[in-house]
Amino acid sequence: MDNNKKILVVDDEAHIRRVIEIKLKKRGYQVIMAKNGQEGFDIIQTQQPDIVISDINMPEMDGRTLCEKTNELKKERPFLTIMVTARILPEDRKWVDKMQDTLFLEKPFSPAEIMEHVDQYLGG
Amino acid sequence: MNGSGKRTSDSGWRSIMIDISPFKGFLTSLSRVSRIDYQIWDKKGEMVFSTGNVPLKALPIKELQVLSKGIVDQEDFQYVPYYDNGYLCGAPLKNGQGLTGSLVAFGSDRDRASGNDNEPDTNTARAEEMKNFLGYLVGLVEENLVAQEEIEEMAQELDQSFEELNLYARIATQIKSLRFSGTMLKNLIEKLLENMRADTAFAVLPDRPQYNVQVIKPGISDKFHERDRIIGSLIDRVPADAPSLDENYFIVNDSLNNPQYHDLAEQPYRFLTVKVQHNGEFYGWLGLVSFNMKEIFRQGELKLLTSMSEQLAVVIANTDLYEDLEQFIINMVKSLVFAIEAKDLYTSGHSERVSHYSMLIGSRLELSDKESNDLKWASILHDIGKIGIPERILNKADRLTDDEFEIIKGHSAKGGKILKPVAQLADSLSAIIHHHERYDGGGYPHGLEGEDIPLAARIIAVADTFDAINSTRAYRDARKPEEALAIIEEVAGSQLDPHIVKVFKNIYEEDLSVVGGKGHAE
Repeated sequence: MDNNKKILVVDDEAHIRRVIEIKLKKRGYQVIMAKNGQEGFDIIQTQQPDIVISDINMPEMDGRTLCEKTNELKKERPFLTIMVTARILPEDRKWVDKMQDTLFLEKPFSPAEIMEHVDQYLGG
Repeated sequence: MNGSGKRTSDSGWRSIMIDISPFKGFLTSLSRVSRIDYQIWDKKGEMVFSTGNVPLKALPIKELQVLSKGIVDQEDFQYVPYYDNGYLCGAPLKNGQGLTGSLVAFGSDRDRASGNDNEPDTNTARAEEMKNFLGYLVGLVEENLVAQEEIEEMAQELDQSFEELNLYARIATQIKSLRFSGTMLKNLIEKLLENMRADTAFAVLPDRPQYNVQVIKPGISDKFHERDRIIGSLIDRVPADAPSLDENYFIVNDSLNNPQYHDLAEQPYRFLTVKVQHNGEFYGWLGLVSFNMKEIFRQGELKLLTSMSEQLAVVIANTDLYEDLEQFIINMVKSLVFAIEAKDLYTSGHSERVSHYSMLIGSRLELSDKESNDLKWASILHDIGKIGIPERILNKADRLTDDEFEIIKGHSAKGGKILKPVAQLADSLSAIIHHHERYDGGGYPHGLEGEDIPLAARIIAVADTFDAINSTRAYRDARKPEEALAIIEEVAGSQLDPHIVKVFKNIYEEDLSVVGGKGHAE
């Protein structure tokens, strides 16, 4: 288990954060949580997570904005962003193509599928 | 809590099946102020945690081991004096499943005034004190453990529901259609197999065997003996009195343990099937087979399959109802048409035959479902306007006067008027109104020409003309089909659409029976 890998979970719904947190912790990852995009953005700048798992619709700052704002940071220090959204529209696909290391998962998502992406990216 | 405590084994909490990490800091602080070393021991006599107040080397490990075993064996508080004002004591530790280890304290009370410390009553008093204190401590720990376990359990259930929800969302989209069809069922079964951990998914509908479907993962089919009939055999062997059938499912967790099932395949397999049933009406079975014996069918998979079966049953029930209703309406319309035809001695069965030919042409022209449906209604109702024409004109054997002919010609437009209030027939009206237009523009009521005449009207015109020639009329006898065909070929391009005449000729030549035996008057 690699305890050095840090994963940020950004979601305004506590039960979703909790499920992802528990699964990630069981796999030995460090987990940081944020309730909205703004909190998430602050954490990304200070704590440099290896993966960000984020909801799209959130108060304060939504997931799209968070993704766009952190896209620049990825040039210096790449990390994976997993966006979770209620419905993937065709324009979302175009948008995500412009983002670096970003992928979309549709809600209701499968926690196991998220874990697969995490493990794959972190080479676990 | 930096530097506090010592982890004596790497993942020690696993051996006592509880997570002690939340208590490490607490016990360590406690050990600093009270100068007592606290440890947690597992059932087998291994120390999994020590607060480290006393260096490990200085701990009387052997004595502590004996004590911890004694606590587990007695399931009770134990106290042992240790020389030089010291003592060992401990209490049993439980989690939700029962006894899991012990919480042990090792004190060496050098600060206490020496003198009568080693007297028995001092130890008795201290044992009583420690028993109460450890009792509180264990209570605190255990309370926390129960909460921890509950949270863990809830998180796991939540995780499971997320997975189920995800699966459900992916499969449920397959049942969005309100009408049952073979394609819909096949898609559903394919989606089930794609998303469930199984090697085969199937649907068996005994009253609709033409829809039975089985999808097998590549490389799996050979594992079954008589694989063509395997699904039937699986279902046939479901014991009628299986208690699980009260909840509409039947499960074989391991075919090796089931004499009814073990001989169907070379390898052991698991089998789950659910009744497709709605409002007490049974339609069939939906099921899964897997050769992966490391897994079992989960509650969530059963729930999902049950839910799919219920939805499928509702779709089938709705479709049955819909088709019943549709048939009822068709029969009503046919009765109406028969009533009109009864006025005309010579046209009995004409509308139904025209409809039959029109639909054959329509399917050859690959009309859409909607176009085909509109054509169906237009063709059966094309002569409905004759309802207002006196019988003496319809049945007149002599040549019609110009006035009489004008009255006859009015029937197509009149048909349109009669049916106009029926919203569902709105797109069939133009075919009824224009079925007497001529391809060269010389027809009625509007003198439309060529492709300006609606396609359905051109189709009905060919069918109508052919059947009229092929039937006995007031003014002449019936011609043979070949002759009728020759005549419509002569008027192809002038009266009739030549392409449609050609299509009809092809249909006729490929299968002569399409016009034979349809009861035309001879």
